[in-house]
Amino acid sequence: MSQKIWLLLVLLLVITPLTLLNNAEARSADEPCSYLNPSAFKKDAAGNCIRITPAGVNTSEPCSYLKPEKYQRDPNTGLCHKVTPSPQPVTPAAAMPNSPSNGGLNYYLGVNDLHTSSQQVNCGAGTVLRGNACVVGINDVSLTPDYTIYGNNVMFLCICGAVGFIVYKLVRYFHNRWNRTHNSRIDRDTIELTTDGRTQSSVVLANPNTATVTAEVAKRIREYENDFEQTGQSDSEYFLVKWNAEFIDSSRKGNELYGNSSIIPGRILKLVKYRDPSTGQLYLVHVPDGINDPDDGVGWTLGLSGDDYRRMGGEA
Amino acid sequence: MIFWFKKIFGIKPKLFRHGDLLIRKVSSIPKTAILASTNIIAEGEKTGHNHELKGSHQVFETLDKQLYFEAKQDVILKHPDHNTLEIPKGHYIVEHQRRYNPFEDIQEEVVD
Repeated sequence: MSQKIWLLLVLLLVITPLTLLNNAEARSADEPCSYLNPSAFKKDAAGNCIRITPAGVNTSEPCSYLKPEKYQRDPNTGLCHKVTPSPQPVTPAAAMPNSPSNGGLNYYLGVNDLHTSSQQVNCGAGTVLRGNACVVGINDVSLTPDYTIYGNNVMFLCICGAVGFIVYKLVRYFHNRWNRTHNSRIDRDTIELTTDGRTQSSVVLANPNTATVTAEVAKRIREYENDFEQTGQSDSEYFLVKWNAEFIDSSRKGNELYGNSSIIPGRILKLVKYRDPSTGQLYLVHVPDGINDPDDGVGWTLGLSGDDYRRMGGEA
Repeated sequence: MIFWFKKIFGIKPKLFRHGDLLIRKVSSIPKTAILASTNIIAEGEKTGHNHELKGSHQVFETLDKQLYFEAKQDVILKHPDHNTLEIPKGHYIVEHQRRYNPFEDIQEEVVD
């Protein structure tokens, strides 16, 4: 449960910078177009950011050899823009009737006169007048991708992820360590013992990675092992009674499962008692702690599942 | 009931237990196994009593000491302490019973 909480915290740590980055695009009028590459942009009269033509771009070439009429090069920036039809077409002045009052001057201005005229022509939403035609207003820097910024963002996210992973590992390490030293629960490698609160000397068994127990428990385990090798095989029922083994379950095949919780504190040792079908002799064997069915236990000793053991063809 | 069902429909069992041995039917014997000129598939290390095959058969052994045998006809498996077991024609692997050591968390082979 606690691991899931830590995982959630790390995920939040990674996701939060992403959320902040999405809100970092707003700029005021006095700010440069790009902090990282300020020389690559300039501002026009309307305050829009325009990318400066990079050195080496040949502005005399058409934007597209296949469809030159679809694109037009911006004389100021050298960039190519797609030509879109204007929602309010401009009619050449020569084709329009003269007006005595000149009241329609704004509407009848010729295309060629627009560059020098201070009059504004409305090209429609999302388009601007560029050269002799209305084009999509992609000179706004907010519409042009800045790959440098994207690259930096990706790198920043990678660093955040790496830092988050390291923090997660460190927290998990210290959390496990805290659990081992403060909790009395059984771990796979170490068995922590709590008795009456007194400090007890511990004895490491033959396999130091298996269990660490008190001297008292180690002595009881040795007695149990010795008795199991002697009495457990010759008189298994007496052995079970002597060591306070509790009956758990029996099967149709006559196998019986027992549990003993008095040897190692916090752990139930499982034993299976079965009868040899030929000789009728009783046998008693330990089985892994997770086994809860006597047939599963005998099947385990033969490398079989409980069902395979029950379907066995012949026993002798 | 199950016994008669299998008998009537000719369903032959694939698993046999003989004392501390498990005889499991396999589809084939590994090609790396070599011939062994014996009819003993398990020796009694404590009692000296062996599990012996009687009938037309061939025992094989792999490099890691795993035993197989081919029953060319129906054979019988004998042991002084156990009842005789009839095994139908086929290929078989010989496995030993194991036991669990709860204090070292290991499994050991049962020695007869």
